[in-house]
Amino acid sequence: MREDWQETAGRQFLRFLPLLVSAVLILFSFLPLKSDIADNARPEIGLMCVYFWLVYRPDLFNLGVVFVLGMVADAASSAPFGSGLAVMLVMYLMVTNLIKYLNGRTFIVLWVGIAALLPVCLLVRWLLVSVYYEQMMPVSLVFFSYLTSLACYPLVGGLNAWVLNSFLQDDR
Amino acid sequence: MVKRDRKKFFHFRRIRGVIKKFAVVLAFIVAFVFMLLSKSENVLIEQTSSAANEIVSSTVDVLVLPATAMVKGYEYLRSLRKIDQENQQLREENRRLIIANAKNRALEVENRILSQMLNYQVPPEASFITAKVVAEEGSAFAHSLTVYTGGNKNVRKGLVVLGSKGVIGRVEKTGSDYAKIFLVNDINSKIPVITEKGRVKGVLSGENAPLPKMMFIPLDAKVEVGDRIVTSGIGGVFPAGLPVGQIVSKDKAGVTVRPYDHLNRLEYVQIVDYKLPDPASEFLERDDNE
Repeated sequence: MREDWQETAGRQFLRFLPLLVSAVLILFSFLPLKSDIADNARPEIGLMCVYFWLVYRPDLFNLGVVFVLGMVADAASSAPFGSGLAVMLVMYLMVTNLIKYLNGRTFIVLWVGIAALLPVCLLVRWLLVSVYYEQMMPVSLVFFSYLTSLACYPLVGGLNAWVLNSFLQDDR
Repeated sequence: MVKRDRKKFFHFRRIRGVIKKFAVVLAFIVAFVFMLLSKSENVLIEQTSSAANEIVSSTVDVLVLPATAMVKGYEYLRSLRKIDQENQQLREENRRLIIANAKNRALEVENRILSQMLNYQVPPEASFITAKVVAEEGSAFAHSLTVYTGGNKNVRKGLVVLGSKGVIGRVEKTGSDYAKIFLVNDINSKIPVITEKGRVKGVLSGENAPLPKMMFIPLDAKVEVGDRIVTSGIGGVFPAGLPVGQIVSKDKAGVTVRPYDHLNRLEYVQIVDYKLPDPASEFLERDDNE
């Protein structure tokens, strides 16, 4: 009986692991880093996590999880509430529609994949926030944020891959 | 029988697909509603956001501990090499400060005498707290800091935030232990300023770019690169004369100002309450009396 309870709790915990890891990584992106790049063009960690988990474990990373993660990102950020959630939903829509092209591909192909999808998300957010403030946001910072995100993807993807391989390989 | 089961299966799949699509549309609508509510400064969104910010900030505060320890250790080792050089600089600075201190005392006495002669009303003394930076955000969409206020009840929305050299922003949200600060380059930041030499008035406006711009200045105004910018005191939120920054460029796009403090190197900030009367409440009071 006790073993059953522990097993169920463990399984439930593993179900929430992608959300938990993604939320912690998003919070990490708010650490003070004392650098010009970090202060102006932080990588889009949340979008990278959504992309990674939707490709590898769409069964654990469904619409509800994306919604909760978007709310966490918006709560932490001082950008307009809801804008982070909206772009995560855009990423969700794109990945779920393109999953057949991304599933089972090598890491390099997935890196190219996020390089192609990320500009769409960033432009959507740029547009939403610009409309919200009735003023154009600086495009150059969006571009630099895109570059830092691409540069950080191997690290973020690697961390997520480590979690996937260490804890979530046997529970399919 | 098998045919009926297959039909049932496909029917079920179609319904599931429709529900899924509906859920995505609903999620998008919720996101837009959140944006609209936050635009209208809805109390519920503000309170929810403050409560969530409190949880997020305390988590970041815990996450930052190992990183801070590593950075401090590295900085300590680096500082050891510079100690001798710094010692000489400090001696020189000390010598200059002793002279400046003597001059200041003389000026203080002179100021007191002149104030008495003019029957000058001394403004209330400012109070401040020093707060540690626990999180920062910098992107094309927001520029803010989260600081630990340690449950200080005097911290409230709108208070001036200073770095070690000048104004860096204002308090936007307060929680029980943390406060969110909009930096001067955030799009929500608008500070009435004036050039120290030419006395040209304007508004320092953040655009979410790395540096803020001075706006609403007359076309024929004489502003030069290198001019010091201080707060003008107009509007009653910021007191007059606080150092803000220096003009670094002037072109068709506007006048760009570099704040005196490095906005990305802030470890501690001062949240200052100048005890200025709130102009909005004064107007309301006057309306009530009338």
